[in-house]
Amino acid sequence: MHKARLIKRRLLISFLIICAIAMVYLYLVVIFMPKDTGDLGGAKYYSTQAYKKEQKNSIDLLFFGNSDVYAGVSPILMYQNSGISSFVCASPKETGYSLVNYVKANLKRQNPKLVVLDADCFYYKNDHYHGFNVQSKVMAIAPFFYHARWKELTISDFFTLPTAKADPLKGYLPNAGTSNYKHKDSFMQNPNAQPLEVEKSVVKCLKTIQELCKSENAQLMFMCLPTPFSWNNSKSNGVKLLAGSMGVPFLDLNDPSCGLELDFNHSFKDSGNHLNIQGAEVATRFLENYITSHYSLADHRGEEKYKSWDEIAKNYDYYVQRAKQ
Amino acid sequence: MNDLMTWLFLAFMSLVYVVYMILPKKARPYCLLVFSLLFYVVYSKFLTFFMLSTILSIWLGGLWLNRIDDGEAKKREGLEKEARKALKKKVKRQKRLVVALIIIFNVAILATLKYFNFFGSLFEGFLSWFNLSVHMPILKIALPLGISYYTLSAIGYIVDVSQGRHRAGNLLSVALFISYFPQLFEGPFATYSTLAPQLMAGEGFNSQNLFSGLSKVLWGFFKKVVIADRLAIVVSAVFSNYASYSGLVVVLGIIAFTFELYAEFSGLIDVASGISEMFSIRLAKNFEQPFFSTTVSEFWRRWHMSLGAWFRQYIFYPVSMSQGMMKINKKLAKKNSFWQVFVPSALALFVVWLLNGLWHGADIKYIVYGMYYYVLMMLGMALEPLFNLIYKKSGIDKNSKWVTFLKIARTFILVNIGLLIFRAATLKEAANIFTSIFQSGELNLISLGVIDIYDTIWCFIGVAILLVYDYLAEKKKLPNSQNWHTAGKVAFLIAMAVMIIVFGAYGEGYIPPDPIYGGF
Repeated sequence: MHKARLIKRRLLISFLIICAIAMVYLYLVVIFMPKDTGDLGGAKYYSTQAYKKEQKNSIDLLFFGNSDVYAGVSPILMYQNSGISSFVCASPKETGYSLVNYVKANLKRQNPKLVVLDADCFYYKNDHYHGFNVQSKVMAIAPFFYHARWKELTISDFFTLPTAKADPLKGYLPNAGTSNYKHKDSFMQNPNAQPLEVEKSVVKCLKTIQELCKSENAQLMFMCLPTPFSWNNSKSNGVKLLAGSMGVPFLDLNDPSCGLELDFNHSFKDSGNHLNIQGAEVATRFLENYITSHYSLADHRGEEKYKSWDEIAKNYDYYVQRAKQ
Repeated sequence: MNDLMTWLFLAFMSLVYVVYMILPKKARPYCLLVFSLLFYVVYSKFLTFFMLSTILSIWLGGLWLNRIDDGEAKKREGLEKEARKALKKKVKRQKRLVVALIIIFNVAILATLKYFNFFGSLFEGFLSWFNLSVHMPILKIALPLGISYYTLSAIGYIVDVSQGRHRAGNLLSVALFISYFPQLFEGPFATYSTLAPQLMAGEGFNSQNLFSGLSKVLWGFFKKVVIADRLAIVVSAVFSNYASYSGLVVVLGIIAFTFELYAEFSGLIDVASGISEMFSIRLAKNFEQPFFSTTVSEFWRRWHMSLGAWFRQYIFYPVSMSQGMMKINKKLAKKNSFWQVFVPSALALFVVWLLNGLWHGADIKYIVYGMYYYVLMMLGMALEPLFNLIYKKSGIDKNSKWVTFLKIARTFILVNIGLLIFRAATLKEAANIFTSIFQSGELNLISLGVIDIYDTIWCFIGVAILLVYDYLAEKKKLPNSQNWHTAGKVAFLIAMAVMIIVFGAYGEGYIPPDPIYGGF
C-alpha cells in the first residue's frame, strides 16, 4: 500500500515537472518567434504567409506554385497595366500534393475569379520545404533557432504572438543577377516525347482543388513559367494530357509555339532555373495579355479599396529595388 | 561536438539512463557496457578494434599476473628463506615481463596512430643533417576516440595488478572500465580500483543523484556553450590575425583562450561527471580552482588533476624509486639536503614533463610546452631558498594577502604564456604573437565586426561567473542544494536550461569550435 502511494506520488511529481517544462518551453516559443515573420533568416520566405495580410475578397487572380512562380510573376506589374488584382502564393519546392492546403487556406479569405496552378510543381514529390512546414517547424524550435534574438528583444516580444507581414509586391520575389541558359537550341525540341504521367496522388489533389474552385465559382488554369532547368517536352505533354482530361486550360510558356519571346541570355538568374527581373517582366506581360484576352477580370485601378495598390504601382521600382535578392 | 552531435549525445544519454534504471541491478553493468560499445562503434566505427584489443590485452595480462601471483603463493609454502627470496625475485622478473609486454603493445598502438608521422618527420630531419634523404611514409588514419585516455588508464590497470593494488578483474568490469562512454571525450582519468566497483554496483534510481548529476551536466554545458564557445570568437579572431591588433587586444585574446580552455575542459568534465553521478558513479575530480594557485606547481596540482595523479603514480614515483635514482640519492646524501631533494626531483620531473608535453600532442610545440613548465618548476625549487631569505631579511610576511595576491597574479601570467605556446599553430607563431603584444594596431574588436557588444558583455559576465564560482568553492561557500525543496530543484534546473538555450553561442551566426582537448 505504502509502495503504491509512493509510486503515485512520484508519477504526480513527474507529471507536474513535465507540465512545468512544457509551459516554460511554450512561453520561450512565444518570446523568441520573430513577431514579424520577415525578420530573420529561417523565415526568409515570409511572402508565403503574406496573403493573410491582404484585405478579404480583394484578389481576383491567385497564382500557386513553387519558386518559379514567385520569381516569375509580378502582380503589381500586371496591375499597373490592366488593374487586375492578383497575388502569388508560392513557396520553395512546393509540390502538387501540398498545393491543396495552400489553396484551401487562401479561398477562405479570398473569392478569386481565376486560380492558376504552376504545373512544374506537379512533378515534385517530396514535401520537404513547404512554406507552411518551414514556418511550423521553425516555430516549434524557435527558442533554439531564434535564440540569438535575445539581443533585440523588446517588452512586446514577451506578450505578443507572431503575425504575418504584408508584402507590397504581392508575393513576387525579384531576382537580381543574370546567368544565361546555354542549351536553348535543344530545349523543348521534341514535341512528340512520351508524356510523363503526373502521379495519381497529385492528380487526386488537383481534382480536389478543381472541386474547391468550382464551389467558390473560380475558374482553374494550369500554366508553366519558363524553366528550362527542370522542364521538358515529356512533362509538358504529361500535363497537356492531364489538363485535357480534367477540362482545364494549360498555358506552357516553355513551349516555343506559345509565342513568348524570351531572351535566354539575359532572362534567367541561375542558368535557366528561375527568371530574373527582366525575365519576370516579359513573362508577366505575356500572362497578362493571355489572361485579359481569355478571362474577364475587373480593372480596379482608381478604386478606393485599391488605393494602396495604386500607391505601390506608382513606386513599383522602389519596392523592387528594396526586395530584390 | 557540433550542435547536432550535442543533441544526439543528450538523447543517447537519456535513453541509456531510462533503460539502465528499468533493468534489474545485475543487468545494469551489461547495459552500460553495451551502450558504451555502441556509442564507440557509432563514433569510431572500425577504429573500435583498437580499443577492443586494448581491453583484451589488459584483461588477459591481468589474468596472467593473477596466475603468477597464485603460483607464487602455492610454491612459497614450505620454502626456506633463501629459496623464497629467489622465488620472489623470479616472480618479480616474470611480472615485469608481462607488464612490459602489455605496455609495449598498447603504447605501440598509441605511438603508431598518434606519433608515427611526428617521429617520422623528426627522423627525416635528423638524417637530413647528414645529407641523407629518407622519405618516411605518412600514416593517414583517424585517431580512435579517447585513445590517449584509455591507453593510460589501461597502463595504470596493468601496473596496479602487478603491484598488488587489486586483483585482475573479469572481462565485463575491465571492458566497462576502459570503454565507459561519458569519460571517453576528455576524461577524467580513473583508476580501476575506484571506478570499476561503482560501475559494477548497478546502483538504482536516486533522486538526489539525479538532481546533482543533472545540475552538473547543465553547469558543464553552460560553461561550454555560453562561456567557452563565445570566448572562442575572440580567440579565433586574435590568433588568426594577431598582427593586425594592438598589444592590448592580443593580451585579451591570450587571456580569453585561457578562460576558454578552462570553461570548455572543465565544462565537459562536469558533463561527464554529471552523467556518471546520475548513475550514482563518482568520477575523479579534475579541477580545483586552478586560477587561485600561487605557484606553477600548485597550478598543475589543481588543473587536469587526474592526469597529474596518473603521471605522479605511474611515472614520477617509479622513476624516483628506480635503482639508478637510488644510487644518485646515496651519493648526494653525503652532500647537503637541498641537492638530495633537488636532483632526483629534477630528473624524475624531466621525464614527467617530457611525456606530459608529448601526451598533449605530436608536435615539437607540445614538448616545448611541457619543458616550459618543467623549467618554471625547477626555477621555483632552485630559487625558493633565495626567496625565503629575502622574505626573512625584509620582514615581509610571505603568507600575507598582498603577497598571495601577487603570487596568484604571477602564476596567472606564467600560465597564460604557457597556453600561448599551446594554442599557437607553431612555436614561431607563438613567438610572433608574443612580440606583437608590444606593437600597435587595431584596438576595437567590435568596430571590426569580430564580435558584437552583446557577446562582448557576455564574455566578461562569463569569466566573472567562472571566477566567482571558483572563489566561493575555494572559500567553501557554495550553496548546498541537498536540502532544497523539489520545486526549488526543478526551478533551478529549468532556469539553467533556459540560460543555455537562450544565451548559448550556437546556431545561426556562431561557428561551433572543435573541442580543444577532443583530439587526445
